Amino acid sequence: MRRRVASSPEKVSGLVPMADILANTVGIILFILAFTVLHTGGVLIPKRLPMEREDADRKPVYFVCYEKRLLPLDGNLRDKLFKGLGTPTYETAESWVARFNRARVEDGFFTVEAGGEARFNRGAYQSIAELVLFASYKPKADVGDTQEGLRGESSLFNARIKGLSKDGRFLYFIVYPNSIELFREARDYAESQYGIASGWSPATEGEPITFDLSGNGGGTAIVPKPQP
Amino acid sequence: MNAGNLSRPRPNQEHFDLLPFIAIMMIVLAVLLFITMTMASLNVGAGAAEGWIPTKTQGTNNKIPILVEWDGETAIIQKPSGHRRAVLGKEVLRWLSSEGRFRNGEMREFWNEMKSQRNTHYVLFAVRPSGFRNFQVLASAFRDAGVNVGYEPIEQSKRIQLKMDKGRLR
Repeated sequence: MRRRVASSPEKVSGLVPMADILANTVGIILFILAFTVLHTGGVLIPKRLPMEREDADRKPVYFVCYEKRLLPLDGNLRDKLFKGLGTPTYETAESWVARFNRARVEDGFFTVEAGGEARFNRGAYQSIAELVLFASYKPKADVGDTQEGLRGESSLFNARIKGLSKDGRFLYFIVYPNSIELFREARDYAESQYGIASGWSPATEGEPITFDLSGNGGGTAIVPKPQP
Repeated sequence: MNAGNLSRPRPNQEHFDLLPFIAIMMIVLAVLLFITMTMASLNVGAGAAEGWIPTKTQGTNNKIPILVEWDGETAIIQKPSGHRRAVLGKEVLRWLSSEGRFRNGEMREFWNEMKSQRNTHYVLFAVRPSGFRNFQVLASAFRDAGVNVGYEPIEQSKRIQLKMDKGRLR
């Protein structure tokens, strides 16, 4: 460390000029801050404002934005819940639903659980059993693409959307509250890189994604077999 | 040690000059202050609000959006004439009467207004994370009345406004 020898007390510099410089610097920074805040007041983003529209020609490809990860959702996974259950009849509807409710399948990203009930309407002239069925997709933790990784050549997102026809498919994002930024990033990338349109729907924190399966497999209404 | 020597000043006594250290400290303080203020500036100014400017793309709708902020409990309707607040509450079942009309007066008035302007206007919801749970119920009330809706997520505390050219704001 450098040492100096003070020849006389008069040569020791005072702190007043330094404090003066500091005070001036702080004052200028405050002025710049005030000017910036007042002048900007918000970011303007040119964007195409969304509006829902029917598009029966294009089929959705589902993705879920969960815990800041992007998970591809396999819509066909729910069909596996019906495997080995056979066809329900009016007489077997109750036991069929009980077996259906125990069904559970999974892939690398989701665990899918079945749920449902048989509602009987016994009328004087005709009785029917209505099956109300649904599949709950529970996302797994720490799987899927991160926001930084989804643009990468080897990302799951890239691999899934690369070959999609923009006229035949669109991306449908199911977004959990803590993954809004990730959703925007993925949507912008798909649009700018591949020209694929997209839609989205909000999901509730802590709850699985539920698909209504009524009309699928079990059918909506079953009537008893005609009596001989 | 001789106590007399300590009290007597010596003309050639060696000492550290603190001035360079103070200068460095001041520079460090100034840099920290600058970083703090830059962050504050971004958050209070540029990052605090978002303005959406609609772009025109071929094949997209030509209807005029009316922005509604939704946080799960309160809808802030941004009309060109001024903002209106409609407090619906969190209980979805209490929103509508048995006739399917909104119980809240502000929302009922807006709903009727949009219904009569459904060929020229649509409702653009800015949905905050706290509103994700019950948003679709609110949107369906407009869908069922034949009013088009659009929706976009927005951070919980970020202010939002539409920047439309004045010709379209009627």
